[in-house]
Amino acid sequence: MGQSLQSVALMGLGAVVLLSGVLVVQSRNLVHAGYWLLPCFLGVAGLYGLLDASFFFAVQIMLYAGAILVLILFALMLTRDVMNPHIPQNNRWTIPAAVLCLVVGILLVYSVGHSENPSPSAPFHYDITRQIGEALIGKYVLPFEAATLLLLAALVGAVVLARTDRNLPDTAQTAGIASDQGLGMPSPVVEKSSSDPNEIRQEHP
Amino acid sequence: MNGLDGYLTISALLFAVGLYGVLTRRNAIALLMGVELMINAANINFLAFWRCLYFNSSEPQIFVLIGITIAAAEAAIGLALILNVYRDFGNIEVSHINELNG
Amino acid sequence: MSVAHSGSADARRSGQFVGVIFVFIVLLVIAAVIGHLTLPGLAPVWHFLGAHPILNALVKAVVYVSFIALLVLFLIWWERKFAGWLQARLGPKHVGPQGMLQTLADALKLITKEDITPAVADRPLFYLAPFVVFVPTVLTFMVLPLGPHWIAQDLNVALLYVIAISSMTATGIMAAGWGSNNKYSLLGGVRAVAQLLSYEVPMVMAVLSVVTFVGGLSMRHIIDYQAQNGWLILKWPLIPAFLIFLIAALAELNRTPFDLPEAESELVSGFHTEYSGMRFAFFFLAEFANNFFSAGFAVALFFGGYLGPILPGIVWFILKTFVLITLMMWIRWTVPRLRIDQMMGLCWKLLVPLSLVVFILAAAWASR
Repeated sequence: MGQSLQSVALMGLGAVVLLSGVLVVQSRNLVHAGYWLLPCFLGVAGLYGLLDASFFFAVQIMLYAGAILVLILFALMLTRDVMNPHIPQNNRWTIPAAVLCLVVGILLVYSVGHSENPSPSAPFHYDITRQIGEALIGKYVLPFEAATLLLLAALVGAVVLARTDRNLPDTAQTAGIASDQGLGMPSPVVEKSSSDPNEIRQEHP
Repeated sequence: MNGLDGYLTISALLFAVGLYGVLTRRNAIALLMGVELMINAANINFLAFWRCLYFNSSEPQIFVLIGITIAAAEAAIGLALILNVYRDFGNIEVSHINELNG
Repeated sequence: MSVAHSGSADARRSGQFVGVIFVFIVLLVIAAVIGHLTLPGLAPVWHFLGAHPILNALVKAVVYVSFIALLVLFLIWWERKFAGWLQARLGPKHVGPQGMLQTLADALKLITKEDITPAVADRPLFYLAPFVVFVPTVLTFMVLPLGPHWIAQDLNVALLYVIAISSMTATGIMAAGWGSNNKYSLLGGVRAVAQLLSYEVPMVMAVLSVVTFVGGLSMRHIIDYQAQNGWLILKWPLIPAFLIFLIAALAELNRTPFDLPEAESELVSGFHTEYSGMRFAFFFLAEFANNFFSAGFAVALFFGGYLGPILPGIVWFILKTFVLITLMMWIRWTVPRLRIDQMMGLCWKLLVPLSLVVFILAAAWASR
């Protein structure tokens, strides 16, 4: 009973992951494409859970569905002008790329099917969180510290890179999100720009 | 369709889908979405091998953890760069961003 | 006011107080009876369910969702009652005994309201957003230890799971803000998401401070540790950890003083401006269910969960959670609202360094 339940779950989660993946790369509306990443990441998290990697199940949801997805959606919402849903979102390499990816996929699946493949062995008593913790502090402390340095550099770098230009009025950045010719909403007129963060600004719609 | 080959098939097809996204999309952010799909496919691969063959060792887990970390950092920096490009060029179609000092 | 009026007002207030205490005692007795029924009476039912995992999961899901629905009804009533007492007035008192059916009346009203969808709204996102906000909140109840045998699933990464699932609501709030196609909703949604993601950092560090003492991420493990070593709040470094967790939880729940994204006087009610009727009811339900969950989570982590001398475990858990929820409501109706830049400054400039210091202190204390 457990075995068949596991294979049903594997097939179901695989279908969810692949279907939402295809919709991510196919959707014409980019915000919809971003949102199709959510079931994809959740499906991948479910696959990690099936693989008894419970730590990665939680980390996948926390980082991918909770942080990276939000990052991508923020970036999509801040760069709205090009997202007119009437222009095609794919470039002229659609057919060759589809052929190439089909070939790559078939090659990989063929190589999977023609080798010795064991099943996930039955009982699994390892505490994965403890394993990772001991490895990170014991044998793999150098990659751990390097990743820390990388994250610090990424944090500082992203803050510096994404900073608003001095020339733009502070509210234009957020006003630009909501006013767009694609929606027909008028853009708010900002009368005066100043860099005093405590000043209350009035917007005239 | 059970066991290791099931996971590897899913990972392979997800990788191909992500590759299609990277190759065909015009918008730079949509390209990043394809890259994220590929990274996820590789992680599934790692963990499937770990669970079926190497569950005594922690190398695959460290690989996956550092991989997720790097993917997050890359997404953050990539999106910050894309926002800057958007501010300078006005659009973020990858075929139009082909001039330095533009 | 003449003396005669205030005298009868006092009599009404004390009469209300007695009435509400009576209602609480009745509900606690019911909870105690249910708590005692778990072990001996229904053993064959648990045996049957244990053999059929899918049926087991379905039954647990139905029980938990109905528990959450009833809980939210009760909590909304209590919020209005307590808010009334804090503001020197009586809360709802006409609809049902002590006004307890007021929430039911409100829910019926919300259900029968017209479902207005803006014409230019992004329909799939607009329709999906309430569910993406509500479902993770219900999922977190899966690991809440209501009583000694009342955890739906004893995950061994329960703490991490809770943090992960509750960070998914940010996606739903973005969908609500974007899908409404309304610049005020979008700004409210963006601010709400910024607040949610920022306040996760001190919350996670406060929870990790607890983990350094306990040595495991499972909820049952934490409560067993507290059974042997006393409540975790009694360890010195965990008192600031609990305070940081409380403040961060208030911000995660979008509760005053952190409710800028959804207050009615700011940004026209923020990301749920365009929602009416049942969809708004989902947001409301999600918020109150999350309230109970955060309070229950804090009780399980810091105050011993279901441990207590005489009464059954579930009664103690509900009592302690209730005290914490009342504290959160008290803060809500007393403190004014923070501005978004004050809120962000509080998080990144005060809470994050403080939580790091508390974490180091807790790790040092736990391993001495």
